[in-house]
Amino acid sequence: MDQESELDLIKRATRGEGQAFRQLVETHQGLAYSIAFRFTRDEMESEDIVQNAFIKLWTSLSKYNKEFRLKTWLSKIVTNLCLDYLKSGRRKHMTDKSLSDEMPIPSQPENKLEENELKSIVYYLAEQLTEKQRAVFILRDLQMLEVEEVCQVLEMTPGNLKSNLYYARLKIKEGLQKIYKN
Amino acid sequence: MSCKEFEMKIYLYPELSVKERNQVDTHLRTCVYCAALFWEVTQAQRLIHQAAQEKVIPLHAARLTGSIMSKIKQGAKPTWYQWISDLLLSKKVKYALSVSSSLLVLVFFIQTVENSPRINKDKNEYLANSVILNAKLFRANFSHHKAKHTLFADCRSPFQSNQNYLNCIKNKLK
Repeated sequence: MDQESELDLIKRATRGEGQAFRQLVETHQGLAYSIAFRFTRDEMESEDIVQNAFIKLWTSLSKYNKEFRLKTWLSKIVTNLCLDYLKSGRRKHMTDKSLSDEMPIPSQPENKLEENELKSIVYYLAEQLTEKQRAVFILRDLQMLEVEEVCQVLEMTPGNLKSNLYYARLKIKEGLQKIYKN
Repeated sequence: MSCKEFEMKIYLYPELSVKERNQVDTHLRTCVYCAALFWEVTQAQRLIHQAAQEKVIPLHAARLTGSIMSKIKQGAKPTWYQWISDLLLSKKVKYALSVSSSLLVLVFFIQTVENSPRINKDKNEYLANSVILNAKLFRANFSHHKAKHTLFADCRSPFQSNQNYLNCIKNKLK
């Protein structure tokens, strides 16, 4: 969807046109869900976060700043909700129940790694990062947002982002090396 | 630039500018340690990229859209109400309201200042009239005294005693 038609939909949705907002939801819910799932690794929680994010978007649509793309603004809302979720007790309970503190062990050599195995290793390593490093890593390396977008979403300077990204990549690389050497 | 300084740039290679990449590339041709690190980082990034290829989409996208829309219809406040509240809370309206209230205060002040001289003017007029009246009365009295003074003026002389002055007045009064 181009910027102009998106702006038109936003204007119409601000005036209360549900159909226009539905189009925005249909266009962007995939992105919102993708970010939420990469943070939470939980389908139900991701859906809840996406719903809450769009309700927040609906109630604050009149404050929309045209300088930012809607995609960036929505990513910011979703990321903040995800970070709140990660800090919450619900998350702690989930972690205790579903994720062990042990490192996942690859069953096969690197070049034959199953996709699911690799994913679980990468996400396990991402869980060991600090909140900022993790957010930067997920948005830049997994969600593949542009540097400028990540800076806007996380309200970080490019220098701060690079610093966090450096430590995140360093730790993930060391983790991967450790797992495969074992 | 030392290897330590290049290390960070190797991890952030995709984020570097063309100039910075050229610097790293030049260094990698001459430094075995950094070249090995670059290879390791590239391998790790390849695995991360592979993990990122996972297609993350909601299982029931239409259902998700439907539940978002129904929650909005249920819980969301009416848009006109929201529009008005947003309008009242917006900065521009706040500034406009404060400016208009300041203007009202200013207009009130100007009117008060304009009205106050009128009151004084009336007062002044009243005072002036009373002064004029008093002056007339005073002049009437004063003219009487003046006439008296003129009548007895020739009785007053520095060479006469008080007794002579009194006798002179008595004569005049007779």
